[in-house]
Amino acid sequence: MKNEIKNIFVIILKDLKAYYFKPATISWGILFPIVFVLIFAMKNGSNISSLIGGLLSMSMFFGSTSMTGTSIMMERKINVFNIYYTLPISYYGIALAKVLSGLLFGIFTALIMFLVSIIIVPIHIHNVSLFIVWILVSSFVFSSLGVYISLIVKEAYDAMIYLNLIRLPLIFISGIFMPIAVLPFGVKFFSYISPLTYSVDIADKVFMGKTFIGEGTSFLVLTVVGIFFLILSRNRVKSLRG
Amino acid sequence: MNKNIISVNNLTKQYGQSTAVKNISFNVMQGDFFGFLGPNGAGKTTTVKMLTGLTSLSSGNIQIFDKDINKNAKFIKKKIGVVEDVSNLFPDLTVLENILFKSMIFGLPQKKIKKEILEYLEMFNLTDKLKVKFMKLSRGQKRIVSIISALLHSPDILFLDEPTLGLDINSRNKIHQLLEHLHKKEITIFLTSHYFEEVEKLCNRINVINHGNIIFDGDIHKLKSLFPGDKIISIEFANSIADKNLSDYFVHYKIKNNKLFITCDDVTGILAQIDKFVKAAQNTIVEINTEGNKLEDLFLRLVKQDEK
Repeated sequence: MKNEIKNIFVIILKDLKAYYFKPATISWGILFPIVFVLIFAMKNGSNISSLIGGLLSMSMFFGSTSMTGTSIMMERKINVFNIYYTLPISYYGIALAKVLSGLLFGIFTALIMFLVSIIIVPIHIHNVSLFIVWILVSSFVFSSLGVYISLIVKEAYDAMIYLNLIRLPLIFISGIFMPIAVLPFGVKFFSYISPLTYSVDIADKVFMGKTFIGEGTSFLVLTVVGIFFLILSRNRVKSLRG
Repeated sequence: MNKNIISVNNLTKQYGQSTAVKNISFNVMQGDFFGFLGPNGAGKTTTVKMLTGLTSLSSGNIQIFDKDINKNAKFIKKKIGVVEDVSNLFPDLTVLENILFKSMIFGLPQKKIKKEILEYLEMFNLTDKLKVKFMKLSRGQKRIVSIISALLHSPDILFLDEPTLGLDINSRNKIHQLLEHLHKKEITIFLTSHYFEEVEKLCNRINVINHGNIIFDGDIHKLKSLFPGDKIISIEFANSIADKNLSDYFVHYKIKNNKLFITCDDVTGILAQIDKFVKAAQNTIVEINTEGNKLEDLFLRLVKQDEK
């Protein structure tokens, strides 16, 4: 167990060195969310403070999934992913290492966005502990999702396309720019199956002190979904071995 | 007495409808330099992948150090080194970072490893590449660094899938020297190769696989004994030999493009006959060559025989 944890940590360190500053990670993980915030800041001025929670959720979503997408895509494309199968580490260990390296990048992105945002608008955090747990749990679930998608695509280089096919529509139906309550019934269904919705809901509690779904329910859903994708990713790591 | 270190029993690998490896069984003894030969698509790489945990088994079992590979994967992975047919280290990391990554996973002391890396790199004149990104290395340099990284945790068995493919003769010789050195240190080596002279030079045991079946298990002497009398002498003459009475001198021969091909067991015995024939026919030899009994010829004959 001790060795397993150490090996997970070594893989995370390696991912930090190898992929954190790749153009795809930076552009989709950091620049894209910053541009979004700036666009909304220019259009809405100080009203952006009501959007800040959602924008930070979106940043974590893009950050975590971009990081996992880039690292797994690169490694699968050139058969380097095989290295993990020659190492004394379990399939869970491999999947968890990838999820955690995405999680760290998600946190990193969220903090950058937070710093950018507080320069533009005044931000008030209602509950600091909730803020920390929200960042951790949200990054975990987004990273798990990113790892799973990057592992299931047939051609590794398609990972980013598939990720964008999922990410971009979710921005508009997860309560970031428009409250879920006002969405049409058909769209609402998709809102409730989007993990981003639950992250945005907790963000609203953190920054505005109110929640639509309830922070307890949202945390529960995010945790279950995160673990679910982690298990699926572990199974996919095993089946990818051939 | 050396004991079995790898036992493969009724091993099969299927990819959908096609069977890459068909119910094969073989053993590798401790200290063996084991050559695994076969034409392209014969099942060599698939077998190596199964032996090293890179792919699952469809049926059968593999025991390494008397332990089932599926049930003791972590234990076995600590004891084996793997060099795949493609150079596979992380391209964005430097040589040093790649090697330190592996050494950290195997829990090796960093100081000792850094010293060892330098010794190995010095052997191949690659010390200046220590801080170069893996992707910036040439194909040959990548192969060498891949081999070095597979050796750092001092494995008891080293699996090498086509380790010298595409390397220049100088690098190939250096890798041969390194492998011979490792073999002397009692490391069991499992080698697949397209270079027959490499297998002939290095391996004490050979298995030949064709269409997923093992068609030969033994050493080079056993293989040679399967095809006796297969030395061929080819002679090109200055003048035509078509009307000469060759059957007075040779038993097994044929003529093609004024070239005489004599099949024999004993080259020295036949040379006297050639001398007699040349004098009687008042002809001159332009070129004379002997071939046959090289591992490559024997391998081709074995595969041909198996396909018949």
